[in-house]
Amino acid sequence: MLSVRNISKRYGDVVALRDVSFDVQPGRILGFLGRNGAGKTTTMRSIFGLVQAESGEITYNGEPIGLSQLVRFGYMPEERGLYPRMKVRDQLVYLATLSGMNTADARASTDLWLDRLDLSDRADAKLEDLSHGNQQRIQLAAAIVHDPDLLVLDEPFSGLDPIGVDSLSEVIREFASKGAGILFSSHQLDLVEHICEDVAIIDEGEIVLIGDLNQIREEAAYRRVLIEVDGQLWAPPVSGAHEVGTGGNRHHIVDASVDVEQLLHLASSAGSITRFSYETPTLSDIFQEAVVK
Amino acid sequence: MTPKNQVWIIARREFTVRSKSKVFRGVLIGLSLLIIGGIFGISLLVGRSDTTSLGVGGDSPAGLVDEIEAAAEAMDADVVVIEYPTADSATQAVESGEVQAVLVDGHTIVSMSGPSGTVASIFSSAAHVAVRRQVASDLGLTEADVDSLLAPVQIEVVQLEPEEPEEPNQEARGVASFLSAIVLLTTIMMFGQFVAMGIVEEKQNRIVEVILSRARASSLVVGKVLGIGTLGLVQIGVLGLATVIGLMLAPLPELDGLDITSVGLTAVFWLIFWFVLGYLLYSFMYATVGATISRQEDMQSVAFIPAVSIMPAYMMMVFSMQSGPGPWVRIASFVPIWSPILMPFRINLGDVPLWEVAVAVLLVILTIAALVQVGSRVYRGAALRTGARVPLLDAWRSGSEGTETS
Repeated sequence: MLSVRNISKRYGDVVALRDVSFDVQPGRILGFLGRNGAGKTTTMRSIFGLVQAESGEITYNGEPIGLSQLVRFGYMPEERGLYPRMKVRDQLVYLATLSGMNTADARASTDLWLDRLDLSDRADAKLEDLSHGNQQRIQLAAAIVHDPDLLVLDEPFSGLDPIGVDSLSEVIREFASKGAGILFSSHQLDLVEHICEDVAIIDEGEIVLIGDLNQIREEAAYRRVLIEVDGQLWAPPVSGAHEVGTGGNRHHIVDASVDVEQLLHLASSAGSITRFSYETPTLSDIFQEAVVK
Repeated sequence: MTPKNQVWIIARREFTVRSKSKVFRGVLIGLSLLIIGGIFGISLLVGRSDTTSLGVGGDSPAGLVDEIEAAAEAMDADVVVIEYPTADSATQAVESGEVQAVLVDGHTIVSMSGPSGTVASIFSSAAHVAVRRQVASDLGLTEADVDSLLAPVQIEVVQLEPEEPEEPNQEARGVASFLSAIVLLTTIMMFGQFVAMGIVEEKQNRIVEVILSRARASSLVVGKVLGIGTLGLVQIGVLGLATVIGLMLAPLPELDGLDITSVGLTAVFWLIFWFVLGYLLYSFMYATVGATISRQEDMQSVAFIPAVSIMPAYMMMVFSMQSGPGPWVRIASFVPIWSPILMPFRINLGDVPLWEVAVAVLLVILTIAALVQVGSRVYRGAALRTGARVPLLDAWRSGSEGTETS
C-alpha cells in the first residue's frame, strides 16, 4: 500500500500542497481529480522523489521510498517523453532492465506488450517515426513493461481517442485485478467515472474529498435532479436547490432530504411534467460540490 | 536492483546507441586511414633519395668500381657507381647533375660544391685499396695474398660507460608533445560536450522524468559520463593503434637505439591515461552546466564555462613552444583543471619526476569526486525545470532538498 501522509510543498509564496494525505490500496483504482494546477502533478512527482516535499511522509508497505521501492512502481509523467531516435523495442527493454528485470524477461515482456498494444510490427521503428497515437501507447508500455506493483499515471487519458480510452481502461483494470495499486489523475470526470473505485479530489493543494466513489455517492447530502415542465428545465423551489452544468447538460442539485414525492407534487402543480429524474450525484456533481464553494 | 547495476545499464545504452551511429563509425575509420596514410606518406618522403650517385672516369686503376661499392657498403651508404669513358664526360656528368661526384683518373674528386665527408672517404679509401692491389699484383703476389694483405683489421669496441641514448631532435619532440596535447584537449572537450548535449537532449525529450522515476540522478549522470567516455576511449585507442600500426608497417628509416613502436605505445598509454582523467573531470563539469539548460540552442550560453577553464592550459602550451616550458608551466600542471593537458605535455617533453605525476593525478581524482557530487546535485535540482536557463546556484539549492535514499 502506498501511503501519502500530510505532505506539504511551497514554491516561494505559492502553496502547492497542504497536508495532502491518501492511500493507494493494492488492487484498487484511485482517481486523483482536480483542476489544472490543483497539485496533482506535484503530488505524483513527490511520490518518486522528483519533488521534495517540505514536510510529511510517503511510504510503501510501511517503508520509506527508496530505489528498491521505485523500481516496483510504474510512472507515466504528464510530460510525455521517450528517446525519439531509439527503436521502440530497444527502448522498452532498456526501461524494463533499468527497473530490475533481467534481459530475457525484459525482452519477453516488451514483446508481450507490443503485441497487446498492436504494435508488434513497429517494434524496430524509431519512436519518432510512429504516429502520435502510437507514441502514446508506447508511453503506456514504458510505464508497465516491468510489471509494476503500483501504477502512477498522470493524466493518462488526455489526448486519447475513444478506442485508446477503452484499451487504457482495460489495462488499468487488468493491473488492478492482478493486485497492483493504481493512482491516476484526471480532470476529465465523465471519462473516468466508470474506472475509479476510489476518488481523491484535490483543490488548491488540499484534499477536499476522499473515499470510495459509490459510498460517496450514496452518502452525499444532495441529489441530482433533472425536471422539465412543459419542455423547459424547471428549477425546484426547495432548500439547497441550485442549477449546475451548461447547455444541454444543465440540471439541479437539491438536498438529499428533499424527497421525490414532494418534488413530483411541486412540479406537477407547476405544469405538465415532461421529464423527471432523481439520482445519486455523478462524479462530476460530486466534484463540483466539493470544489466550487 | 542496485545503483551500480543501473549505472552499468545506463552506460551500456549510451555506448551502444552512440557507437552504432554511422557518423561516429565513419569518422573513426576515416581518421584511422588518414593517420596510417599520413605516416606512410611521411616515411616515403623521408626514406627517398638516400641513394647517392657517383661516377668514375679517365684512367682509373683496375677494380676501382668494385672497391668503391665495397667501401660504400662498409660505411653503410647506398651508392650507385657509373663508369664514364673519359675524364671530360665524367666531369660533364657532374655538371648535368647526373651524379654527385666523380673520381677522375683515380686521384681527383670532381664535384659541384665539394664532396660530402662520406663521399670523400669512400673515394679515397677505394682509390687507396685499388692502387695498393695493383702494386701488389705487379709485385707478383697471388690474389689470396693480396686479399689477406689488404684485409681490414677487425677492431672491437669496448665501452666502459654506456652511451647515452641519443636525444631525439628536441624541436621535433616539442612539436610532437604539442600535437598530442592538442589531440587530447580536443578529444576531451568533444566528448565532454557530448555529455552536455546528451543531458540537454533528455531534458528536451522529457524522458528524464521517466528515467528519474526509477533511477537516481547520480546514476544517470555517472552512467552517461561512463558510457560516452568509453566511446571516447575507443576512439582515442583506435586512433592510437592506427598510429602504432602505421609506424610498424611504414618503411621508416631506422634510428639507432630508438624503437619507434615502443615509443609509440608509451605515448598512446599516456594519452589514454590522461584522456580518462581529463575526460572525467571535464565531462562532469559539462554535465553540471548542461543540466541547467533545456534546449540545445542554449548550449553556447553554458559551454563556455569548461572551454574557458581549459583555455589557460592551451595558452601556456603555446607560450612554451616559443620559449620552452617555464616554471609556471610546472606549477600550472598541478592545477587539476589543467593537469590533464599540461602533465602529459611535460611528460612528452622530458622527464617528470614520478612524484609530481602522482600528486597531480591525486588532485585530479579528488576534483573529479567533488564534481560528481556537485554535478549530481545540480542535476537533481534542475532536471525537471524546463524553459529558461536555471541559475547554477538555484539548481544547487533545490538539488539539496532531501537526500537520495537507496
